[in-house]
Amino acid sequence: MEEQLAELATKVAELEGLQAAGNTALAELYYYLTIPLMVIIHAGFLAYEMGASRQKNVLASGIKNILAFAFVIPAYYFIGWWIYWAFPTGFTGSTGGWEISGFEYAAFALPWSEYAGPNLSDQSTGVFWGAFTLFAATTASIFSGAVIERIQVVGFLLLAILLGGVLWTLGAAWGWHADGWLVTGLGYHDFGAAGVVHMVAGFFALGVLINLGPRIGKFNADGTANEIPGHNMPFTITGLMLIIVGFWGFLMGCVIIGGEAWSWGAAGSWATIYGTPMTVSAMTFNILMGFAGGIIGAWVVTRDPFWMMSGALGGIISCAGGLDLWWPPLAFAIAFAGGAVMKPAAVFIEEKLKVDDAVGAVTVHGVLGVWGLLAVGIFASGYPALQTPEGTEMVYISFFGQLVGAVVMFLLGFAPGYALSYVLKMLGLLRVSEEAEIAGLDLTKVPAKAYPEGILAPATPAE
Amino acid sequence: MGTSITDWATVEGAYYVGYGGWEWLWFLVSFALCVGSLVLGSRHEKESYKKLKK
Repeated sequence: MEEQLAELATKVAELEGLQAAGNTALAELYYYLTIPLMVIIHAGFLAYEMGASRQKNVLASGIKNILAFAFVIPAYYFIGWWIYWAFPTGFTGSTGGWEISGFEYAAFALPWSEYAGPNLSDQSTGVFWGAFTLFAATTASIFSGAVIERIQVVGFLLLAILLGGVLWTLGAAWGWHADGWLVTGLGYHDFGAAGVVHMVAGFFALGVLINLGPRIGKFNADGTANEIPGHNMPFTITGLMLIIVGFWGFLMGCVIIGGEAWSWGAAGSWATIYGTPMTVSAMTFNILMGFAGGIIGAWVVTRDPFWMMSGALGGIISCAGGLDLWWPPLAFAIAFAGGAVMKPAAVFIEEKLKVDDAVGAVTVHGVLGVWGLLAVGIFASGYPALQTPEGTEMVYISFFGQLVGAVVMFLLGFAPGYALSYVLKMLGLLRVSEEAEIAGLDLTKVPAKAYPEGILAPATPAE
Repeated sequence: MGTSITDWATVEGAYYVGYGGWEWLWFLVSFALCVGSLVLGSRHEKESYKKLKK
């Protein structure tokens, strides 16, 4: 009998080991797959920006976008990953309640740490770093579209490195980390990164646009604005759809799979980055309802396919903060409102503030990021905001917490964006020369032609 | 640079090329490559504008 029991215990241990190994493999594969999905976001931004550029600037816009992606990757390796783990409790570098933050803990994320490369005792760090790096690159791409057709490449890259390598990840440390001071102190809740990614990037773009100035010909002497259409609207719209495909990977990266040493809950369970329970089912309901609400809201107000596809993105951003919590029809309504308000907000920014945002990034990401955060405060106040460490008091979602979070994310994006772009302007590194802007950036500095045979007009009206 | 690993069965932790002393060098080299690329990029850009002006 004892022998049989011992045999049974061995078998159970074996099965438990197999189950744990299977869970680990699933978790690693899950986050690994978020990365190529998020690369699709960049394919989308590339198409979007090139389509929104005039023929004379198509390739220069493409170069800028590709390089932002390329430079943010090493920047996030060098410094960004460490910032995320070092500063959740503020600038003191102290350890938070869950003991997964502060200077001491963050040492594993330094580029010369033995965990920052191939290591048989750590199979997950690289995958998580990769997913976070793609978030970082997304912030740079959000900013990239706003400044097309007149920014210098290197000036732009320095700004993109600051945004993707430092600023957004600081916001994530504060508001998208279980030890983050905004979370533990104010109950800030931002499941899908409406604030820490979209607001920071959108308002960073606004700060830069103020110093960069409008494209030549955008505003008339009397202050009225001219439309400067891109050369390929279908390309732009397809790009927007690709961004939305990639967003599924982005939002997958916002979920924590249970059952691992680094995760919350048991195997088979899912949690937010705050440790609160959620289901992938909830996220699916709400992403799709947000997507639909945003398109329809924009269609009702504009009838314009550009704004409709931007509305899809804006709808998801409007719902992003509470994708884990919304009742799907409420997500639809929140997204509808976001989609509807987009064009009027863009017109206000253009006509009243005299800001030339070529793709509406400030509106879609900045303004709707604010709406996404405040919507959580308006409709989801009272929910426990995180899984608190034993012995600490529960913190709840509140409108005040969301409002303070929105102010912090605004400042974190806008102030450094304005300051660095001002310095670059003083150094002559921000804007291209007037001659280059008029002649076209492709002709000036790109050793290739976008359309060597030109784009032919149809021979007859019927074609 | 090489490695001290002679038997994979004994390896449990980090095993990358340069482990245990060369990290700083390659960190600095990769950092310098990024900075150098930006400097050269800026120079190319300024020259392009000058050329166009002529």
